[in-house]
Amino acid sequence: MSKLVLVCDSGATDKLQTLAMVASGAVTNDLEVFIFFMHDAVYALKKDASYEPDVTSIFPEVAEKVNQARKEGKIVHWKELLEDLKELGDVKINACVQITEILGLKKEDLLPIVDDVVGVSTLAEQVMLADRVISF
Amino acid sequence: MSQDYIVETVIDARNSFCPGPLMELIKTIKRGELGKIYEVWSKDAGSIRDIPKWVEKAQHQMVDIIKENGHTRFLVKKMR
Repeated sequence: MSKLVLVCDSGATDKLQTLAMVASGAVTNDLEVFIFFMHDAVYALKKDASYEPDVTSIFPEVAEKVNQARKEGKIVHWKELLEDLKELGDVKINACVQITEILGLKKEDLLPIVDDVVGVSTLAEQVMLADRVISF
Repeated sequence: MSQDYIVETVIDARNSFCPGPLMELIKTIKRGELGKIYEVWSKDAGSIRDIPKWVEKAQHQMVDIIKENGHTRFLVKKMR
């Protein structure tokens, strides 16, 4: 099975949605997916994340229409999509240990979709094993 | 000419953008019974290519693709 590594350090909703969509394309093509969340992206994985930003865009019309589509339930939320993908394929979701510890978090404080809290050495190891790497 | 099929479940994903319709179909088929037909309705243009491709990769049977009233109906038989 081919492997794809996805790395995200942004908590921006549009980046997380894009990551989840790319992961869905990978799963439907039978790729193994290793996802590594860093920095703000780890904050977005908190169970009690109190703030979720709207999708932003340099084009106001894009932001308006995408957020409207989200409100109307026409776009699967990235958290729900990742949860589905874990059920449908080989998807591992990891949080960066550095930011997790800085924020005083444990794995239990993060969403159940998170498989592990690991360091960049593990990321590098997975990158060496991967066929492709995409960062967001 | 329309043909009658015995469909186990119809997924109305006309209100979903990509990858919604395909993901709903995959989930339904994964949980479904072997040999049954599952149908998804989609208005998403990407589904025309993505759904048949996935069906082929996953080794299910693309029973029929029916275009009607602004959406497309994809009928898929679970083969494994």
